[in-house]
Amino acid sequence: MSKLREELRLQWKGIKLSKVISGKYYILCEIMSELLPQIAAYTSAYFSGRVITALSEKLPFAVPLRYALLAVSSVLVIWVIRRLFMRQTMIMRRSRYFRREAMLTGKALSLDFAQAESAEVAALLSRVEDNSDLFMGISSQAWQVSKIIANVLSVVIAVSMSSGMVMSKSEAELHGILKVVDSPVFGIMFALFVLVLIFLSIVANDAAVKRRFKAHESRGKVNALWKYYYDRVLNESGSGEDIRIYHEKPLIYEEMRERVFGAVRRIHSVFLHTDTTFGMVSTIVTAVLGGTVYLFVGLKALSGAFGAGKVVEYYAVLSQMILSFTTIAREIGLLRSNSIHLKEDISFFELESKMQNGTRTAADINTDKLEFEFHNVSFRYPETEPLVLHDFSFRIRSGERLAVVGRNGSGKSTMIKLLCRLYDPSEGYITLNGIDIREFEYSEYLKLFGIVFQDFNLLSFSIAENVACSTRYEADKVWNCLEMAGLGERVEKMPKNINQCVTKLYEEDGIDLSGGEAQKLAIARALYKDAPFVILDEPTAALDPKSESEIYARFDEMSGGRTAVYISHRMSSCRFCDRIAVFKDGTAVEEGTHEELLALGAEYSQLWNAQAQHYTDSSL
Amino acid sequence: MKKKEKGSYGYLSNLRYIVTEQWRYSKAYIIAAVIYSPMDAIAAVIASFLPKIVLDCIEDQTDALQLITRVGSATLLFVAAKVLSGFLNAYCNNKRLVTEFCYWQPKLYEKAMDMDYHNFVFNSTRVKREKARDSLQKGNGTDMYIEINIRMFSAFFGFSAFTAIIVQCNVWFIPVLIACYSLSAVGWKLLQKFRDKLKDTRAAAILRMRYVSFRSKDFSEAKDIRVYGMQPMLEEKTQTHLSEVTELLKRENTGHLYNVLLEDVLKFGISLGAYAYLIYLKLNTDMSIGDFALYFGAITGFGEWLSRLVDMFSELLEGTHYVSDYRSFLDLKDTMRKTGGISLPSDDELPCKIEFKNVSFSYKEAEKATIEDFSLTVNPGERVAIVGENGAGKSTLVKLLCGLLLPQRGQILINGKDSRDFNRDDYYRLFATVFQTVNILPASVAKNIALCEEDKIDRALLEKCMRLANIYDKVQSLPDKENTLMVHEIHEGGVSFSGGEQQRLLLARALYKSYAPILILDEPTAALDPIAENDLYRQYSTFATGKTSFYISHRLSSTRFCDRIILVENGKIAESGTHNELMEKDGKYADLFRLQSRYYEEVEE
Repeated sequence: MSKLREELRLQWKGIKLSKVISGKYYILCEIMSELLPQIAAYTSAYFSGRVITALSEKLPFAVPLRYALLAVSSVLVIWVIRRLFMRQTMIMRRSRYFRREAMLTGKALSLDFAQAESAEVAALLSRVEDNSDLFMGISSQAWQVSKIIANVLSVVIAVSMSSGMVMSKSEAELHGILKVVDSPVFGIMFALFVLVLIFLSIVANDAAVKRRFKAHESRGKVNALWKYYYDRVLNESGSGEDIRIYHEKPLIYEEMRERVFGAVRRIHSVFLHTDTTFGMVSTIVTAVLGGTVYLFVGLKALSGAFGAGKVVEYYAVLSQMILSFTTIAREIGLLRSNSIHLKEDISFFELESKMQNGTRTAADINTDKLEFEFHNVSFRYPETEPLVLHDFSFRIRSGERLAVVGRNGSGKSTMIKLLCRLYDPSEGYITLNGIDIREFEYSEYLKLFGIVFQDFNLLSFSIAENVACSTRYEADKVWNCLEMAGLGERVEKMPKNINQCVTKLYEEDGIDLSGGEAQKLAIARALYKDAPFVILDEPTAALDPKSESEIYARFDEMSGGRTAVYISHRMSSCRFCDRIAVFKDGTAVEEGTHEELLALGAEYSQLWNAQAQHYTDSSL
Repeated sequence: MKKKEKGSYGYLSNLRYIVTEQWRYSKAYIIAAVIYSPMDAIAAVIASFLPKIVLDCIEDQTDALQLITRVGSATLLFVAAKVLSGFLNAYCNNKRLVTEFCYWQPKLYEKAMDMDYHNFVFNSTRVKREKARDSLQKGNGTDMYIEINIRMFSAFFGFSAFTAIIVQCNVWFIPVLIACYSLSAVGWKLLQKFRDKLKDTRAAAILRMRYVSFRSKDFSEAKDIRVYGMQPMLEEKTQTHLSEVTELLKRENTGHLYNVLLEDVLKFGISLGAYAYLIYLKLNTDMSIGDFALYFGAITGFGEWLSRLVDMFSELLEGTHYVSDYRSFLDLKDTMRKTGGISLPSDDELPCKIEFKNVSFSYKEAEKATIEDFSLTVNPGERVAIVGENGAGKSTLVKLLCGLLLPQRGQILINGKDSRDFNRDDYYRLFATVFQTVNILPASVAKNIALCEEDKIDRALLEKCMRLANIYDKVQSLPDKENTLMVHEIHEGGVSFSGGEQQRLLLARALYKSYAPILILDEPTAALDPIAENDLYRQYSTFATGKTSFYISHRLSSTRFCDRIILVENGKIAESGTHNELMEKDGKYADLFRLQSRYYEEVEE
C-alpha cells in the first residue's frame, strides 16, 4: 500500500514538474487532443446510425438528410476545437525538448563545483539526458497520464452509449441460433469474451513494454559514446588534424564496431523479437474483436433486437471502446516501466547545493587586509585515494606577491581550488583574517578573487561578454582591461571590436584566437572583476617571450596594492615576487626569497637550475 | 550555383541513391518493405466490406449460419492481413533503425574524418555537416526515406482500391474529391515554403541554444563559470534562445493550423455531399443499405487515403530535401590526390629534405595572408626550431607542411618532389606530430598512444615509447595498466589525465609513430615542470635521430639543441641561423632571448 502511495507521489511530482517543462495547460491540451476525436467518432456514430434507421424506415429525403447534417457538422465543430487544442499541444510538445534543455542548463549551473565534477552527478546527468533524447522519464510521463485519462473518459462514454445493447431483447418468436443469441446469457458471454481478450492483450502488452524498456536502457550508454565522438572527435576542428596525420580512422571504426554497432544490433533484435511475439497479441486481439463485434451486433439485429441503424452505431462505439482499452493497457504499462526514469529525472532536478554557506557578508571582510591561512589542511579529491595536500599549513600575507613553484602534481592548483572553495578541505580548515572561510556567504566571498586558471575556458560569446562575464558591461572598462592585458590592439583591428565573438561555434563570423590571445583575454577577465586578490595559475605557458615579458612587466601594475599569487613552471617568475613558496608532494617544503632558497640548495635550486642552465650556460 | 546543386538531387536520383545504398547494407529490408506496402490497403478494403456484409444479411434476413460464415471468413482474412502487416512492419522498423546507426551515421562520420582537412575546417562545411546530421534526426529524413516511400505506395494502393469501389457508385465523385483535396495540397505546399524559409533561422537558434547548454553542463567549464559568476549570463542566453525557438514553433504551427482547418471544412463538405447523394440514391433506386454504408465509407475513407497520399507526398518532398542535405555533405569534393600518386621516399632516401618554395597561404576569412612568399630549405636530418610571436604563422606553417592545408601559391617539396604529387593519405605517413590541442579518445590508453586497432598494437614499441615519454610509471599505476579505458565520463572507472600527463601521452603518440621520418613538436612542454622539461630537452636528440625535425616553442632555451633557428614574423622568415649566429647578429632573436633570459642571468651577476 505504501508502495502504491510512493508511486503516486512520484507521479504527482512528475506532473507538477511537467507543468514547468511542458507548459501549464499541457496535460489539459493533451487530454483534449486525445479525447475530442473520439467524441467526434461517437457523435458521428450516433447520427449516422439515425440516417440508416431513417433510410430503412423509408422516411422522406429531408429526415435522413437532417441527421446527416447533424453528423457531419458535429464532427466539424469538435474537430475545429480539437485543432485549436492541438496547436497548443504541438507547440508545447516540440518546445519541450528545448525547455527541458534550458531547465537542465539552469540546474547544472546551480550545482556546487564538487557536485558538477563528481562522477555520480555526471552519471545522473547523462542518464537524465538520455531520458530526454529517448523520450523517457519526465518527457513522456505527462503524455502517458493524459492519454490514460482521455481514454478512460472515452470508455465511460462508450459504455453508457452501448450498455443497452448487450441485454437488448427481441420481441419476435425465435428458433435455433437466433434463440440462443437473444438470451441474456449470450450477451454476458460475449461481454466476458471481449474482456478476456482485452485482458490477454494487457498482459502481453505489459510483458512487451518491460522488455522494450530494458533494451532501451542500454541504448543510453551507446548514445553517450556516440555523442562523445560527434561532439569532441568530429565536431572540433582540433581533432581533425590528429585523425588524419595518425590515420585514426581504422581505430575509430574498430571502437565503433565493438562498442556501438554490436550493441545497437543486439538492442534492436530484442525490439524485433518483442514486437513479433508479445507485441502481436494486441494486433491479433484487436482484429479478432473487430470481426466478433460485427458478428454479435449482426446476429442481434438478425434476431430483431434492433435495426440496421443501431448496428452501425453500436459497431462504431464498440470498436472505439476496444481501441481505448488497448491504449489504456499500453499506456499503463509504459507509465509503470517509465517510473524508474521519472525517478532519475526528479532526483536530478531535486539536487540541492551541499555546500555549507555562511552568513557573514562583505561587511565582515576588511579588503585592505586579506590574510589567508591554511591550518593543517589535508585533501583528497572525492572518490579517490591519494592525498593531494597533506597536513598543509601555509599563510598568504596581505598585499604580498607570492610565487608558488613545484613539480607537476605537487598540489599547487589544488591549493587554489580550496582557497576559492571549489572544494572544502577533507581535514583542517582555512581562515581569512582569522575567520573560517566557510562562515562567509559564498557569493560575497567569491568576489574577493580574480583567478586565471591554468585550464581556463572562454565562451564563444563576444569579447566584451567574455571579459565582463555578463551581457551588460561598461565598454570603457572592458577596453581598459583588454589594454592592460595586452590585447587592446588586436581587438581594435577586429571588425566588430569588443562585440566580436570568439570562435565560430556561437556566431558565424566569430574570430579564432590563438592560445596566447586567449590567455590574455582570460587575464582581462580577471582584471575586470577588480578583485582584491589575484591568482594567476601558469598564465604564460602559451605565450611568446615578448608577451610573457609584458605580463611580467604588467604584473606589478595589475596586482597594484592587491595580494597576488603567481603559480608557474617558468622559474623566472620568481624574480619579481616578494616571496617564493616551493611545494612538494602536497606540502610547502621551502619558503623565502630567491637568494635564500638558492642558498638552501634543495628542491628550489634543483628546479631553478634545471631551467636556468639553458639560458646561462653558453657551452650548451 | 545553389539552385543547380539542388537540381542535381531530384526525387528519382535520391530514391535511387538510397535504395542502392540500402541494398548494399541489407537486401532483406527492401524486400520486406515491398511486400509490406500493399498490406494496409488490403486490410482496409476488407474492413470496409465488413459492414456491407452484415447489413446485407440483415436486410435480406438471411439465416444466422450464413451471417456467421460470411463475417467469420472476412474476419479471418482481416486478421491474416493484419498479422502479416504487423510482422513486416516490425521487421522493417528494426532494419531501418539498425541501418541508421550502423550505416547512415557512420558514413557521415567517415566523410568527416576523410575529407580534405582544409575543406573540413571551413565554416560552410560545418553548416553542411550539421544539416547532414540533422537529416538523420527527422521523422522523414534520410534514414526514413524508404519508409516514407513505402508509406506513399501503401497510400497509393489504398487510394486505388477505394477509387475502384467509388467508381461502382458514380465515377464523378473521383474528380470532385481530387479537386477538393488539391485545394488543401496547395495549402500544404505554401506551408512547406514557409517552413523552408524558417529552416535556417531555426537551425541557427538551435545551434546556439545547444552551445550554451553544452558549455553550461560541461564540467571543464565549471570552475570559470562559478568563480566569475557567469550563471546569470548563461541563463539569460538560454532563455533568449528558448524564446526564439518557441516563437518560430508558434509561427510554424499557426500555418499548420490554417491548413488543417481548411481540410476540416473540405471534409465537412465532402461528407455532406456524399450523404445527400447517397440518400437520394437509396430513396430513388434499389440500392441496398449495405451498399449505402460501403459507398459512404469508401467516399469518406477515400479522403483519408488521398490525404495520406498527399501527406506522404509532402513528407517525401521534405525528405528529398533532407536526403539532398545528406548527400551534398557526402559529395563535397576533395581537391587533394587520393588515388595513385608518387611513392614515398624509400629508406635510403631518409631523412628527407624539405623545401618551401614561395609558399603563400591565407585563411579564407582573414584579409591578410598568414604565410607570405615563404621560402625555406631544410636539410636531411636537420633539427629546426621555429620561434616567433603568437599569431606569427608558426602553426599554419606546420599544417601546410603536413598537407593539412594547401598553399594558395608556391609549393612544398619533399626530397625535391612536389607534396601535391603524393597520395594524400600516404603523405601523412611522413609525419609524427604533437599539436597543441589535446584529443583523447574514449578507448584504452594503449590505443590512445598507438592509435591503431587492438591486434596491430606493437606492445614492445608501446612500452618503449611510454618509458621515453616518461608516462610508463603512471600507466603502470592504473587498474588495468595500458588497457585502462580513458575518459571517465564515458566509461565507468575510466581514467582522465592531468595536463602534464596528457602532454606526455601526446609525446608517446608521436614517438610510437616511429616510422615517420619527420618529427614535429608544437609547444610540447607548456604544461611540464622545469625538471620534466629539462628531461625532454636532454632526450630530444634521441627522439630526433635519423629524422628531420621541427620544434616550435616559446621557451627559447629549447632552441639551443636545434641545428638552426627560424624566427617567423608576419608569415615570413625574419631571421635564420644557429643560436650563436643569431646572438652575434644581435637582431630580433637576440632581443627575445635576452628578454626571456634576463631573469635567469641576473643571478650570475
